[in-house]
Amino acid sequence: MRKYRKIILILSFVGLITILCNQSLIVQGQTEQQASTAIQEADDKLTYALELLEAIPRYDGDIRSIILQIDIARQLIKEAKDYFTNSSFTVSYQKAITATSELDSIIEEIETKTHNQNQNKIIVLSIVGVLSGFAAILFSIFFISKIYPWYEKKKIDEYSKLEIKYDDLSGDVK
Amino acid sequence: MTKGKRNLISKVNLKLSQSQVNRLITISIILVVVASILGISSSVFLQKTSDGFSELSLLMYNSLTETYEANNYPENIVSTANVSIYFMVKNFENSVRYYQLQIKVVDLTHNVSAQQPIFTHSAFSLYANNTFEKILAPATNSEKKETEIFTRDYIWSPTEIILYVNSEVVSEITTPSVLKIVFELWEFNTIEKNFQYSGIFTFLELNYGVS
Repeated sequence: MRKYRKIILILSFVGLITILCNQSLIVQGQTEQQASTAIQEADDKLTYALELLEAIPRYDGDIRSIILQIDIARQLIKEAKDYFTNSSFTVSYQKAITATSELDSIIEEIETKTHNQNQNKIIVLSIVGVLSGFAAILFSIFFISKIYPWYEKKKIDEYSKLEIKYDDLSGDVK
Repeated sequence: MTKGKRNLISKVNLKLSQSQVNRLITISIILVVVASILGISSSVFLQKTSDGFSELSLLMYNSLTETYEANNYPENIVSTANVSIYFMVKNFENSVRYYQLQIKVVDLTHNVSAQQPIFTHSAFSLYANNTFEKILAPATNSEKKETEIFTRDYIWSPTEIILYVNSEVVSEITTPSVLKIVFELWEFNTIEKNFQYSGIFTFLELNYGVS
């Protein structure tokens, strides 16, 4: 019975080692593909982040610090590509994944900033619009209640000063 | 009403008293204020993007003054001694820019154009694949007036390039004893998703020797 137990243990050990070896080969084989995909994904994220930045109307201090972060992510992607060229796929993959993760948070930050900037723009334009509308209404009220009656009154006053002289012969006004 | 009467009434209407003039001025001021508010707000929030530019410069480091200067460029290069030079890029465009600097070695007679880059196959492979990249923020209006500044968000700080020649390059150059090292500035196009030649370049002509 003990003999069998030993054989079973040895066989299990050999089986385990074989599975681990195969697994490591699969992982090694997958990493090149994964690294390539991860680099491509990071590149796409970088392009998208730049597209978002190009659409921003104002580059304040926060946006400028975001640009610095994007440049750091770009550096990571470059390193990932260099490692990929040197067949260090695992490091390349890790670098690309880190870049993607950083770019994700940067993109989120840019979108929040853009949203806030747009909201502020809408608020200020709304205030200006409301104030302009209010000024226009006030002016209309002022015009109707004061200026126009004053104009009419003045016109009547001016007319009342008119001296009409009729020519006895022709009847025309002089 | 006769024609004469109508003329008289129009003459009276044209005569404005002092108080009328004052009222007209008041109305004009109100209109100007409202127009100014609209104008200022539109200029602030609907900014027009005027054309900007990018700047590429070659610099030398002066160890005595510990600063960079556009002076004392190298004139000679030999295979046994490398030449050190610095490049600097400034983003005076109105938006973020992703720059790439490409360095190419060509014959002295090779034309360099702002319309077309030097094709890689006509440049020697020594530097053709040697690129530098950087993303830069745009300069603010106050920053655009700055001079003698080498480090800011909108500046690609002076970066050292080691220039060298070897027998491979020398054997391919047809102009005797002189070569041209061209520095081209490329920009990333987010629509095309690739780098495109900005038309900005500078070059260095060097006498070379193999010894």
